[in-house]
Amino acid sequence: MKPAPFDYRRPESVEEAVAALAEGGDEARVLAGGQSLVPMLAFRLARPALLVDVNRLPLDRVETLAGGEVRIGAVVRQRAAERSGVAALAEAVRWVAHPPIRNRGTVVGSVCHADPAAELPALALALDGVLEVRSASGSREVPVAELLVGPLMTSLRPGELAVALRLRPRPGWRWRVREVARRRGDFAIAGVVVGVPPDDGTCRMVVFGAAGRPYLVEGPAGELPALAGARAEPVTDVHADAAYRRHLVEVLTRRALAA
Amino acid sequence: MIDVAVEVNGRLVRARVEPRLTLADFIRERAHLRGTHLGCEHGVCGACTVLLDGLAVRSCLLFAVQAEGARVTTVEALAGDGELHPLQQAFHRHHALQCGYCTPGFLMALAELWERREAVTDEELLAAVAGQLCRCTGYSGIVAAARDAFAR
Repeated sequence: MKPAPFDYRRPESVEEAVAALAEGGDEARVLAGGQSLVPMLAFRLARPALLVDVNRLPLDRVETLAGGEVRIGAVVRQRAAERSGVAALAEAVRWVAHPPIRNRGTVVGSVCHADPAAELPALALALDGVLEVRSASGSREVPVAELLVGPLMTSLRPGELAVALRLRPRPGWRWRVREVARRRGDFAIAGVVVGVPPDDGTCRMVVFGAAGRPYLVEGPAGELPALAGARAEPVTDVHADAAYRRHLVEVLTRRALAA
Repeated sequence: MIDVAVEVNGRLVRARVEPRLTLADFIRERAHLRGTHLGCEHGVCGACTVLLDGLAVRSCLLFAVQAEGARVTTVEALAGDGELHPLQQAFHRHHALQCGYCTPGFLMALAELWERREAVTDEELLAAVAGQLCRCTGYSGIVAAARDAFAR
């Protein structure tokens, strides 16, 4: 038993959940899949006074909306998303950790955790993601581009609960994810999500692991690798130096385009 | 303190627990089943892998209170009456363990796939064990055992 003590609530409705979060304020955290939060609790990097367990909320569906948008509920497991028939989701999720982690980890939770080297926030940015957010005082929609503000930092406020993520895979587009990690399933040293339109015109891609947050790049396929590399703000750490990360961004972009 | 009731290997285990008690600690200390091992206790090593409602999960990354009403299967449930499970027999044949500390986790990660073993691909087998750490065998024996048990 390694985490510091906390109070625990397991609401059955979104209303109950946001009421509990409002009560907990700054000291409350949402517990969804827990595959990032629980390690942080074990290391005591996070010491919330209250955990609001949202796993029993009726938010476990992947729906295709009119217009082709895909709506992913807050407790849809990564494993379920992988098998949902949405090709872009399956392509990204297969790179996330390992099956036992994906059996619990949620898509929405990963996006809200905002790890700069994670696949799902990058995918959400590439697919024009919009987060549906509820709180005791109402609801709002947060574009993923405005959600991700830095490493493990989002624009969500205390008391807010992400209830769903909407993605727009764009009909006919081909989405490819490529990354390099020290071992399969580890966080990426660097990675890319690349989308090519059916007319082979302007491509849309997101780079992850090469800056404090994933970033969007658009351009024709021929210029994309250089554009993506130029925008990188990579760090040097024990796993790779900055120059290598920038190099990877360009190579991975070329590989994704060729795949 | 919260009352929980979890079905572990077909037996209902009731306990009054702190919310911060992990499922792994619940299994070991409250259900008194010590086959589930704790390595890193933060989700990296896979030694504590069990089945939760039939799916492989890290029991160190779940709190016991979250498993209320769920069905947990641990390594103790694999062997039948005096006979090892085919996965365990394959591990034995292929020397897929040395110290054995990681073995329950490997077995349970593979056990998730056992029910639909006819349809499991080699890629799935490798993915299933890729997240499990072993510090002695070098993995060749483990992969050979898995392929043998699943006839791949």
